[in-house]
Amino acid sequence: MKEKKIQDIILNPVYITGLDIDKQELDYLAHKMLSDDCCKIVFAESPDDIPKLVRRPVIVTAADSSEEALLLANQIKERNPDSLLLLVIPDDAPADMLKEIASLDLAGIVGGNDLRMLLYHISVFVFRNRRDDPSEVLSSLIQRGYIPDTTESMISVIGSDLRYRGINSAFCQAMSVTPKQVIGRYPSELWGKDVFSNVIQNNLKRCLKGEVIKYKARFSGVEFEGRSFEVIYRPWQPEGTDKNLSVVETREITQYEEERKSAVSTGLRSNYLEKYLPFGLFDCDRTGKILFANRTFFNIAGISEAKDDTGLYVESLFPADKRFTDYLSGVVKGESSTFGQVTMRRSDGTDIFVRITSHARPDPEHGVVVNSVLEETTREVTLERKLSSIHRMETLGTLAGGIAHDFNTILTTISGYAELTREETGPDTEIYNYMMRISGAVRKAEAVINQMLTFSRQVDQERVAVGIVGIIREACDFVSSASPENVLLQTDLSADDLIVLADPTQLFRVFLNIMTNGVQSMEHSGGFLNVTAERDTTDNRQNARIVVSDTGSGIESSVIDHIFEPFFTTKDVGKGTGMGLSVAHGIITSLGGEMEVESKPGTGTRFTILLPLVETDKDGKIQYPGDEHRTVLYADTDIYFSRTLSLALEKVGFRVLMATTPEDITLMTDSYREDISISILRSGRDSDTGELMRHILAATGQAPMVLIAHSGIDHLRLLNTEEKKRVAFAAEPVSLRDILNAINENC
Amino acid sequence: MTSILLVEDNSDLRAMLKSSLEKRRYIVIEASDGREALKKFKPLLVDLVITDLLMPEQDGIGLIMELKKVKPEIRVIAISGGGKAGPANYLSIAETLGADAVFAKPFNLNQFLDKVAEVLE
Repeated sequence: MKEKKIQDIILNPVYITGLDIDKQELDYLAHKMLSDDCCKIVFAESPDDIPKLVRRPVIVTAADSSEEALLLANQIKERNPDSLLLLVIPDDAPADMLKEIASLDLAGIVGGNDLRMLLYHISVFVFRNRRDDPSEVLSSLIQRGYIPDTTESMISVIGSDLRYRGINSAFCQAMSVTPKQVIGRYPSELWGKDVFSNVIQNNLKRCLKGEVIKYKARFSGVEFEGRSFEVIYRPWQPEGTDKNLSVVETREITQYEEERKSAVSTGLRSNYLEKYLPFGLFDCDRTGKILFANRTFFNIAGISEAKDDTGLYVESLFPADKRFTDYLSGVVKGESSTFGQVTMRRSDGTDIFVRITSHARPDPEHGVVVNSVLEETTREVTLERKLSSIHRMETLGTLAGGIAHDFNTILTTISGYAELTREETGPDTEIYNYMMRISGAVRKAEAVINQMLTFSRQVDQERVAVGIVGIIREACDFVSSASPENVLLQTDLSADDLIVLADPTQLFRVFLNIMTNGVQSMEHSGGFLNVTAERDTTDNRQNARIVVSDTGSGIESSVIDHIFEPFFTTKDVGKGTGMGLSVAHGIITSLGGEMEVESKPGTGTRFTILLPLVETDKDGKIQYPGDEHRTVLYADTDIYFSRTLSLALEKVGFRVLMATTPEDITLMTDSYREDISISILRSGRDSDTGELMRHILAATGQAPMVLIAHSGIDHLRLLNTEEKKRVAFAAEPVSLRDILNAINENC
Repeated sequence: MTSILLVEDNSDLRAMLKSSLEKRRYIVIEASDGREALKKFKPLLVDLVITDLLMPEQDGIGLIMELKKVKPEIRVIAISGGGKAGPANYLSIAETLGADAVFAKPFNLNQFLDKVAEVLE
């Protein structure tokens, strides 16, 4: 280390960086510690803001978390390797993090809430960077009057011979002594032997061996009545020496203690709450100018707190939503006070959903001030939208099923009359040919209806165990042969052990459909179509994950919500029926799989398909549903429906015990308790499903249950964790296939 | 003469089927749902019941079960338009219940009439 004069060190600026030391704290720091002729204080928001061409700066940095502290420290060290870095870390930093921070070449570490400690450390810097004897440094500092400005704590340096090596001016003032009188003396000479007891002497000795000792103390004497102090012994070995010294700090904490006691009932608490509450709080005037905002607000908005005083307007956070101005004037007039599902643009450009609740109060300075609470609701909104989309798809499915049924009947009539007419006229007539055309049109209509039924999961698919990668390869070959030259197909299909139960032709259609859409979106611009297949074991379920992504034009967010709905198309009239993606979605869902789409206009679209992999037994043999002759307890209050379903269940090999009343259930479970390997309960409109579930679960040992209901969530509330594990869910409107899937996947 | 009870709730389709069956010289008794069919069913007279499966009031599956109780040897052809609970499911249940033939709408009229003749042989 180059030798430096005290003046040099002191005149070096202290840089404050990080986001955590707020303006108020900085003011305090500057006021207390750094007079103009001593140090310069420069505020920086990030390590990049610290000028490089300065003499060795003392950098104080603070952070919200220890991870951030570590990151900041590393960044600063990288940019200003010669700097002296003082790191302020949160008080609750975990031990392993402390270890890692301690391994950095730092000048010091200070707990986050202790400003005085920070001041003390900065003052310690001053003599830490001298080769001179610390006592000389200290006395020279004291002579120059530097130390007195830095801290109110009484600081003394004691050598291994237990004599004073130096004291600061706070010490001098408090004890009415001068350094000359004290340095070289024993503490007991100053304090008296009763005060400087064996205990204190022991503390001092332990400290000289390297231990930090900290305790709260009260001193006897009229002037110390009712005052609290904290005494800290810190070991100190000045660099370049082998001297062991102890720095003893005694500071008054009376006010701090009282503040802490009263914090519960006073403004300190609200300050604390305002700062750390998990809600964003902000006050603004009638123009929307933010007068105050807490930390959570800035976190939600993703902006640095320092922007606070540069004039931030609430409106600027909602560029996509012009309603905010109206809302604000409404609140000022005393109108509605909650503004839900607002799109807020964070400073990094991402959009989130928030809810704002406000009330206006009169204010002498601004006329009126609007206090608001800001909550982020992105997660809830997303979930809600997903649920409503599922509901919409179900409704559309039922509707499509109904339409299909009626249409099939009408088509039969049309084609029947066409055939009758053909018979009447005989071949070789104009009418015969017309009738042929009618029959042809009916067949086309039939095909469209079949697609609708596939969407609504009402066409049974032939299901065989198929290797999915083979099917994807086939689809890829097909697509690449028909793609324009500027579209490049890239595949990663190395996971070729993915076997699913499906109708291979239908799966082929699904992949072909998605890939073709991708290629079409890149027709003009060109780009890449990426296709990957891999094993996915999220949530303990074995799935094949197939991702098809393109770099094409992407899909507008207003369109993407409807993309799987039947009859929805953005293609020109005549180019598509809008059936493609809804059919693909129907096929995947009926196989117990999931299909999702993400897209950014201008960037591309990405389809993700999850398909359950088939279970194999020990010998690698594939397990099909209904392999064994199993007894199923089927409880359903709807007699009509239950007859249909139980017949269907018997047809696929189950022995069915049917129960249509709670009494039936008891009868069945009493008589066949041992035999029942699965129970199926269909939630009725009037029956208490939750109670019935508990009853059946309790009466059927470990047998799993399939619950058929519109939504399973409500009914599961009554169950304990063990019971919940036994329940699988099949959503209404249910088909035999759904139930078999639920049995196969969960039982 | 061979009598057929034709149960179908859609009157257009019923009329078309009736005309075509009559052209093949069958006697056709019409019913628009299962309940009406049970009223009009005369065990000694009717040789074949052609029934839709999804109908208001008494549905086709229930009708088949009731008819088999009254006249176990009755011939049945079930037709279904699909939708709601799935065409294949309904038809396969009908088959399990003893339907001699099943047709999914829309079907080819001549194939259907040939089947009627075959079932009645």
